[in-house]
Amino acid sequence: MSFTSTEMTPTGTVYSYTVAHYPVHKALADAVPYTVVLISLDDAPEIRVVGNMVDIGHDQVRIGMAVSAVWEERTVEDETIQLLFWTAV
Amino acid sequence: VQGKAVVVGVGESTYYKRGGATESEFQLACIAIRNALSDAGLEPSDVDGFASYMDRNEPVRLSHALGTGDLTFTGQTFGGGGNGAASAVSLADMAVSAGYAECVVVFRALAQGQFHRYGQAGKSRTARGRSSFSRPYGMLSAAQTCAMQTMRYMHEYGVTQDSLAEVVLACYEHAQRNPRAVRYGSPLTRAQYHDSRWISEPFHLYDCCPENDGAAAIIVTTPEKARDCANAPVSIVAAAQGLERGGGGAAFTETNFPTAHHRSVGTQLWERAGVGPSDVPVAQFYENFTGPVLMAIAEMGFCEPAEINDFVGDGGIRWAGGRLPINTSGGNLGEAYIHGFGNVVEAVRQIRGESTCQVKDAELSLSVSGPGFAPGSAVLFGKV
Repeated sequence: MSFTSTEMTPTGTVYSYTVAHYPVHKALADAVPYTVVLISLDDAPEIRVVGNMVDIGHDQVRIGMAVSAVWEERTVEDETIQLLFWTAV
Repeated sequence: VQGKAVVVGVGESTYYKRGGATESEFQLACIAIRNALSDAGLEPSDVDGFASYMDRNEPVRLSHALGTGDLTFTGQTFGGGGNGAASAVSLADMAVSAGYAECVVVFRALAQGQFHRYGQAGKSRTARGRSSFSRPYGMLSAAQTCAMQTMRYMHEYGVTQDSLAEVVLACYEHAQRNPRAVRYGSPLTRAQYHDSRWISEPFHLYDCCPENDGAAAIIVTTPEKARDCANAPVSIVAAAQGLERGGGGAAFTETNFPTAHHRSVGTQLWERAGVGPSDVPVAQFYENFTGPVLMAIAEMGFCEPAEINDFVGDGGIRWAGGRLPINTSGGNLGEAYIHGFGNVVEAVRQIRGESTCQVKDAELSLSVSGPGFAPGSAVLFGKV
């Protein structure tokens, strides 16, 4: 069994979403309501990735909305990680 | 071999709101099992096996505390949710039918007041497996993952918010007749449902299972031993568990998304039982959340997904005049959330004619476990 990497166009559509209103962790108390989206990739629609939207209100996300990827770095307790976000196009 | 074993006893502890139990979870387990044995007219010394799912009350402790006979069988099924309730019954059926044990307790005890709350993200600071792809984005609870599935399901099939409400309203209406139910004496109106706060859209507060303390148990044995028991035996007509090809995966990449994981469960169950959905007059559907219940109703073959609004609307799933009364004890939402094992107990009671929402002359009674979590399972009970 071998594994390979494939480059894909960083665009997709909103396949589903939920707007979280209840903070299930105290660290999210000031973050709610926030939207978690499930994005179907344009180059491989059967591949779906979970993410968050940027630059859009939680009540404006709709299934079928076209999106493109935005990479952002977040630093938590001296550790920097890169996260994938999405913006409406 | 399957379908040979029978159920001879049912029992439960008092059901409490989370934190309301004065007993520990282990004590609740012992109480439920003692009540089920007493109902069957059996002694703890008759017990030689235990089956459950996701339970931390191990047979090694239960055996000692209850004073069972020698244990010859113990087993739990895989999966991270209430999907194991019916398959735990099938484990007992397999063990008894194949001769590994003669008298198996199937039980679930859950005190969310004593242990962690299912509705919280938990204290873990790491993500692993499937959650590696979702936790960083604030998807941390079962409500949120089932909401994501339900939102897509509603979009694809035109399922309405009122159809989600129908599941809740049926449970609360049935709970008003059941003195064991935590929501007994607390009716709910459609307006209250719609006015309740959002938890994770499309789920309002009442779409989500409550957090409770309690335990429930049944006793599975051979038809021969059942002759000495206090009640008429109830047949385990057929049971099935299933994870359909394409149903598993990480980060919602399942081919079948969204699914309740019950398509292959239904196919197997009806084939084994030699009957179909239209032969079943009453059913219990595990309600973690309302959306997966609707998916499971369709996937078990009761209607097409596009027909859900009509199937559940106009009182279709109510005890009073419904075409398929569901969750006749009040279910997880109205009676108590014991990880769905109350749904199994209630399905047995329907065959015994002892439900507080008794469906007249019910010859078959279905319990469907854990929609949205895999492998899904279901068990069909019947008159012997």
